[in-house]
Amino acid sequence: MHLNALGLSHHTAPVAVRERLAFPASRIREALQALRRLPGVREAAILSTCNRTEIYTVSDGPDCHALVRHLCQVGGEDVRDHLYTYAADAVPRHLFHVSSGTDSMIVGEAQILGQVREAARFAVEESTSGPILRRLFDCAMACGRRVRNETEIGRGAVSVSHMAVELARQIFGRLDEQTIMLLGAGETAELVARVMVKHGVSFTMVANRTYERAEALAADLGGKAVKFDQFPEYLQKADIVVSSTAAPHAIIRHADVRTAANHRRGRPMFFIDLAVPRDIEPTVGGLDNVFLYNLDDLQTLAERNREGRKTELGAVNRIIDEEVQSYLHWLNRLEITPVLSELQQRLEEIRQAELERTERRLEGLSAAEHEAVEHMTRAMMKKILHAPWQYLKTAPEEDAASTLQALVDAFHLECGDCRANGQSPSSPTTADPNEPVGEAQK
Amino acid sequence: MNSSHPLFLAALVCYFLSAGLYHVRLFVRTVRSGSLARWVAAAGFACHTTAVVIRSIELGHAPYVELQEAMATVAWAVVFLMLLVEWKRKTFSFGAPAMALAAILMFLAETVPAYSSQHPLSPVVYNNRMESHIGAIVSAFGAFGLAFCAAILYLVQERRLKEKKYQASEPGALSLVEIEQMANALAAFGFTLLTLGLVLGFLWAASGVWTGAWYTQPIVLATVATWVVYGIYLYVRSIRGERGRHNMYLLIAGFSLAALTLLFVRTLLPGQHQF
Repeated sequence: MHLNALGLSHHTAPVAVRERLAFPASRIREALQALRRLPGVREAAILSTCNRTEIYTVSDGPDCHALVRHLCQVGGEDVRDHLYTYAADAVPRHLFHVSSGTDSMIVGEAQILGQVREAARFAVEESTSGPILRRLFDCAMACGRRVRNETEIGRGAVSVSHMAVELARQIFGRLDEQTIMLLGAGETAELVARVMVKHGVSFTMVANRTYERAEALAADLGGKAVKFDQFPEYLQKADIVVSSTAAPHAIIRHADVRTAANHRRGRPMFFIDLAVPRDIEPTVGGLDNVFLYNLDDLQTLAERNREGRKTELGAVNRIIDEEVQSYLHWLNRLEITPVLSELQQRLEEIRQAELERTERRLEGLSAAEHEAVEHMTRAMMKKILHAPWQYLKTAPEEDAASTLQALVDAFHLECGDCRANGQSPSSPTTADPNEPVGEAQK
Repeated sequence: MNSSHPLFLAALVCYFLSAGLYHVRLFVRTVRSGSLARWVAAAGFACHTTAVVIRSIELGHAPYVELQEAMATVAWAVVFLMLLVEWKRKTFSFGAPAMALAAILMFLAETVPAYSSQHPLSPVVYNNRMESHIGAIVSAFGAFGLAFCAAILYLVQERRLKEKKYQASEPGALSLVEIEQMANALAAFGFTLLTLGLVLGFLWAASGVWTGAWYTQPIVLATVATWVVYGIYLYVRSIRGERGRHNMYLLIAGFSLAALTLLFVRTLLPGQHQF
């Protein structure tokens, strides 16, 4: 068996190409079944996001020609120029980088982990993933979680809108009891308001010089419109104020905020000034329980976070190395089971043949005596197999491989051929040699 | 012979170690480092609790009559409440200040001279009501200790947000509002216990056991002053609805007064009151 990955991403393909190979949730099941029907493909999974489409397969042969042809049929012949492939050890390493967010457009973004989980779920539901891909995706998710827990790669917002949300959370905690006031309807301010609402902000007030525009936006955000000249009266009700008007001078004055803050009796207020020139008098930030951030502040902090994430890459790579080794160790161990199963079968055949010959010479054995002989030979066989089984399970990888090869050579096992080609079994069993062959094969 | 002393020392070491680890975590900021610090704190707490139980059995009464025992019990209450809060809120926020406070209290408990060796306890004076009186007050001081830590956290976080010294959020981190609510809950809990402890003490003293003006004892006056400070805080916070930095100053003042009461009133202003 050969493990392969094939795909394209924002690193190799422009959006015009990526969109042709994107598999939305509605088409992914059909695409998986199409892959499964390709000759030689044993297992398949598709990871499709807005920035990448990747196909993971376990197949009989090492080449991906059939897969490339299939993708060219789906996305057009020029797709071929943007494809990259990974094989064997490079596959888990790549997927673990993807699930850790280090291969994402925004390094460390967390959404990818959910997308990897979805890809694994679709493959399981469509029965296109077997033990090798199931384990690969499980390990990828574990690796992604570990990276997020043990490093700061995913910490800190990297965009202005998410930075505003994060600061609001650091002040208020849960946002579902907070009220936001939007002054002006600039693009960034609207985006901030939408992200805030998405994160649970319960009530929105919108004030704009054009009242109709305020009404439309308020309706869109599920809030209420306020007359622009009346907004100071509503300030005291707002926990978060986002301002982005085109006014040539400050419209939120120190005195208005002080009055509002006094009415609020110490409940914090968070002002976000996204306007240039600024809408909020800078001295507002000096008032008790009032926090003021302007566009520069948010951009600087977001940029610092982006840089900070890059410094975590060393620690992330160390974790990925460990997880890749762990997965490859498991994959190599998969070879033990079919060899030992075949050895067990070979010994069972010998046992049955010898038992038959012995029974012919010892005629007149009672049923109890027959049972005793049967039991004894089976126990001998189990005990003989138990030692190599235990050794192979615990020995270092290289020692285990050489011992396995010695067993294959000594007993002329057929699966030795597939081992020599570096193949893995498609459906390994976990049968213990102490169990009789017949039961293990059930 | 105090056979619980080795366990007490083990708790002291664990508290210092945990305080150090929690402070390291402020820079490392990983879940694993926080968990390690918490486990060390929990190990110290287990040693401390076992030491308290053994000591109680040896003495035949709760071990917080001595000044150093009372301080150790305040440390025990601080660690208990800290572990409870961290477990309930899935946060590591309180660890650094709380464990530092607990470690300092335990260190003082280990180093201040014993008092009862010169002033042995009278069985007539020391009874169950007395035990409840001291227990309630010492537990209240523990709650005030953690409220003090919350106030420090609030001021640090508020300054950081004001000065735009941003630090990325970590899982379980408490917001400014949540820290303030936590401080308020702890202060209210401590105030209830302190009120109960004072009432029990007053009833006991007024029952005729105490000869003389018990209400003029320095330690009684100092404890009542602490009660007044927290009373003012609760009035401002709960009745007037005021929140924010100034309330935190009241919590810091309240615990500072409680700590001074515990540490110095007994030694600088001697009276008839035990410890």
